[in-house]
Amino acid sequence: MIQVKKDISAVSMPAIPVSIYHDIFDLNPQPMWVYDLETFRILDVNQAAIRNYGYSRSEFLELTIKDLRPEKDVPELVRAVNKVRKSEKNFSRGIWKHRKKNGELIDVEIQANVIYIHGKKTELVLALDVTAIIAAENEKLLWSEKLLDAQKIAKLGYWTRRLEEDISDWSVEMYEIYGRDPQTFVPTFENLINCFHPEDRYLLYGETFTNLKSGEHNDFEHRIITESGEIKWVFQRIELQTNADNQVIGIKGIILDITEKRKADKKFKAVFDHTSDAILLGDDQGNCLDLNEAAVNMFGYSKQELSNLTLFYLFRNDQESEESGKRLLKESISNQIVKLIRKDGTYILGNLNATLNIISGVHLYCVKDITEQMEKKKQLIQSERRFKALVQEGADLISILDINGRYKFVGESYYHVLGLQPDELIGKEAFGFIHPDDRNRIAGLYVKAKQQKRTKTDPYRYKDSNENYRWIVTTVTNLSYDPAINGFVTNSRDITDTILKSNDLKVSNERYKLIQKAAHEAIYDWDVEKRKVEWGPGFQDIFGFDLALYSNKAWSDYIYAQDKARILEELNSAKNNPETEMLVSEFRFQKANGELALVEHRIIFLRNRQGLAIRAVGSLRDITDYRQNLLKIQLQNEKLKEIAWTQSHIVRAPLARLMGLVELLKLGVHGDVSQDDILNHILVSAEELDAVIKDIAHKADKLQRSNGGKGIEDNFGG
Amino acid sequence: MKIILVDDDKIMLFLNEMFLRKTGITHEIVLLHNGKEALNYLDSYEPENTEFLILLDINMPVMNGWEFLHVVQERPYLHRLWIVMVSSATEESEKERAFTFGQVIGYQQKPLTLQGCLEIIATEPIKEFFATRK
Repeated sequence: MIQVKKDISAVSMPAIPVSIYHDIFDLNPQPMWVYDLETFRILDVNQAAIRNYGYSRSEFLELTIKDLRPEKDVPELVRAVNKVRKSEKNFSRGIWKHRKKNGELIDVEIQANVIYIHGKKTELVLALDVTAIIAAENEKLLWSEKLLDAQKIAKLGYWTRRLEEDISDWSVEMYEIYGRDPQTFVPTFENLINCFHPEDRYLLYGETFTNLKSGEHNDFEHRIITESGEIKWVFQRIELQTNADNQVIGIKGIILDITEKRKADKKFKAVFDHTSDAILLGDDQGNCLDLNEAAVNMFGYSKQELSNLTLFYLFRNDQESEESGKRLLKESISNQIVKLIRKDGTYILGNLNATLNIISGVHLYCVKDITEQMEKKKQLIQSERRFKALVQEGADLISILDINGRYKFVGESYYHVLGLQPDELIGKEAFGFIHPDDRNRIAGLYVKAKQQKRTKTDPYRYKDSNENYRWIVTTVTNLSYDPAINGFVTNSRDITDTILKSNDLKVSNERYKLIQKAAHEAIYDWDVEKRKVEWGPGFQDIFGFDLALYSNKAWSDYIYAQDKARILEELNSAKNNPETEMLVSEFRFQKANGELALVEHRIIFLRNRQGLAIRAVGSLRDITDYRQNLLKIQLQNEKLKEIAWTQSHIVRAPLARLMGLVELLKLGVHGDVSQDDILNHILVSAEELDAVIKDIAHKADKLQRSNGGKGIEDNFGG
Repeated sequence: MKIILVDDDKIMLFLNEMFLRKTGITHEIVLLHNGKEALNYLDSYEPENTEFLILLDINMPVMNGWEFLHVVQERPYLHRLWIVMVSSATEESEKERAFTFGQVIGYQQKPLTLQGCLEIIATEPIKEFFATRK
């Protein structure tokens, strides 16, 4: 039984059965108990507490109030109880956490009042379960924070103003957006005017606000100026505010800071207008909604013309109509190379990207003109092919060596020229293929090549796949500093044939010199292009001109004056006539000792494809003796012929007479002449013939004797 | 038509005349010993309508046959001369040379025979003289 401290007001009350107080306690819908402030022990408990906490009455009476608390709250509880013990105050309240029998923690609002039972200080506790309220408040708080965060992140402000009031109610973010201090700034209409950009203030007075109807909203964008002077762009949406009876009680609005969006839009617009890529926006029907200047330039149509054309037409192929364009644009495209037809019928190659429905029903098409790029690519491929042809299929042996002379790269021509497989050479030392007699010389040059840009070798021998040595010359280019090469590029040529020919030429030249000596002719080699004449030794031997002392033009300077103009004219015209291969002429020539000689000049011209004489080989031969001897022989022949003619006539004269006389005798008729006379004539003629024959025999014998008895061998033998 | 035999060899002149007569011709035959004599004879011969057949030796003293041929080219009676060369030379070149002169109508090698004489009088330009007056 609880003994309540005697109260004056209660004493004066009409008589109420005492048991009613116990029922008020026991049947109270709020959990209640009484505990001993000294021992913390629960002294009594009502039914609501038993229902709410899950303990039976007897269990409760075994508990202290510490048992109802989470363990960590106990020290705090002890401090609070101690405070109540010492305090004169009878009432206390607070929000605490309690633990039910099943371990569930609940929030409770405790209201307690000190009461004395049998002189003992106890406290009557009313524990109101506020778990749901606390949770709701927490939830509300959370949402409130979320809203604030969202407003802050979205730069979204919210405001209201009642019709009869001058001051608006601003959300926190409103102050943030307007750049005003919530502590000092009062959002009156007057102050708000000053926040608007001067050019946009008309909005505050205009139809924007006055025409606003219930249930509708107005949207507009304007500039505001913050306290620090910064200009911002904001989006406003305003609506009328109504009460439950749908009566207009005020106006409300949201403000969105769109400064960044404006900047971004401006940037996008600048990109759209100034990009070199064509950008087109189209709808499902292929209508062009917007396009940039680059698109106008790319397709060659004016904007006006484009407004009458569909995008399907622009993206058609050259064989089909719009249908082909429709097929192409029906889905998103990533980096597809398309061939487009310009207004003038020329083609461009474009790299097309299409994104469908960037906004519902709006499609974005971007085209990059890659005609030139493709052309360059084509040229690059051709260039690469040419390079490949040069490196891999050319006659030059190309390789890259590392610093130690090992092959890093070997061109295909190593196989074509030397029969060596390029792959098998990689990593091998190049000097290993060089003839031992040449190796040190070339290795020395390679050391030098490291210090200079380019080095060229003399011919050296390099072993081919058949173990034969080929003559090679190499140019080494130091590209070790070039990261793409990082080595020494070698360009080599097989000059074996040239070397062999050169040896042949040496032998041939030796022979030529011997022939020059043996021919007893002055032989020369005239390089017409270089205007240079090389004379053989014969010129000095035969004509006495030492070319160390005389000019190289001595041969023409000393042509006999009467012949000179003719000979030089003949020579010049022969040189200039592409048909003339050889010219032979004779003229008189004054030797160094002043003697006049008759010479035969022969010259053979070597001409280029155009017929121009580029070289000539010639000879000067002294034919004075030869000509004189020839003349002598001709004279002798004439004489001999005359003699022979005369002799034949002398011989035939008596013989013919004899024959005639015999004929006459045969005929038997001879007029007045007697047969004896005829016979006498025959005798005289026969004697005459005999004398002539003896004379001839005598002359022949005389000629034989005048030759001194010598034969051919005696005259020309050694 | 007169016949002139020119040769420095008198036996040859005799033989040639004999063979000509053997052919039966009766024309007057004049014997001369070189070209000069022949030229003089022709120059001094007055009747201008007489034509001459000359059997001309080549190799002769004073004026040989060739020299004679050259000289008569300038004479007014040239067109009345018919010349047959009679030579001991056997060279074909001599014969060819002889025919370069328009008046030469034949070439006979010595010794002249009866057959050779018959050929001469049968030569186309002059045979009519011998056919009618034989």
